[in-house]
Amino acid sequence: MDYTELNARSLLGTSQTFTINGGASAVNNGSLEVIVEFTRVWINTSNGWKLCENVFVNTADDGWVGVGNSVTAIT
Amino acid sequence: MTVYTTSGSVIIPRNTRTLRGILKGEGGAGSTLTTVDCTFYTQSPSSSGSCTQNFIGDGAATTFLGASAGGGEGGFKGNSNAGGTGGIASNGSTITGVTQSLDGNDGGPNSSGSNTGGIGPGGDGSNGTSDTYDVQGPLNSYCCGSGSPSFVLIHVVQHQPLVDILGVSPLDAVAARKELIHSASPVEVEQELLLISRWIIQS
Repeated sequence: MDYTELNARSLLGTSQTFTINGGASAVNNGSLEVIVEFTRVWINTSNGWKLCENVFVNTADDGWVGVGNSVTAIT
Repeated sequence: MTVYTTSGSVIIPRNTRTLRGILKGEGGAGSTLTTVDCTFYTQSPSSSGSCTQNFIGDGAATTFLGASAGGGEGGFKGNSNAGGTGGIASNGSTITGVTQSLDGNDGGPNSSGSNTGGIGPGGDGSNGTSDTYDVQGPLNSYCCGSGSPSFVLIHVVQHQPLVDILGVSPLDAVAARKELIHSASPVEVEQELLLISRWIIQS
């Protein structure tokens, strides 16, 4: 889902509910992964501010778990 | 991180550019001969009969943002010596851009000597939990592996170039560039950030 749709549906900055494993079987777990993309993220490092582009973050109900992609210095 | 908890919520950051959701439905349970819910079985265990109920233990759908990946059905499917139908993947009515949608396969048929569950694109069906029985049950009571989970993938790539110099937290970004931010007014901050964005693009 791209930015246009996320914005049109007023989803940005919101908390959205999910349901998983509500059945009686309890055998094969269902699952959910939600991955969000940032085109540019500035990160303050020991060498100053660095720009990360095309950052994909795998998120979950317990918060952020990772950030990473190509890193270039601020020009 | 994959989420397995029954319910909860996920925060969508304000400066998200694209979002991808991967949903997998819960698999159905394999059947156990002694617990197949069949009236004929309990009333006349020495005769062949007919079952019309599914074995309890259907898997539940996984849902998020109106999309749904259906759960597999329980191991015993009506009168058929076959596993329950795999879950149905659906994008719902509120989501666009489903690029991949795979239904689960049926669970595999079972017998007293073989209780292997089916293999579906979203995941394997589970095995039946019993492969022996002491008395003759209703017709086809010796089945089944369970239905397999379904799988739905939602992903739309954003092609429109959009300026975004905000960090994970807009407040952090503002703080980082505070030498360029002279006002706490949200409107002025937004204008300032726009100017910075244009500067970055030009450079």
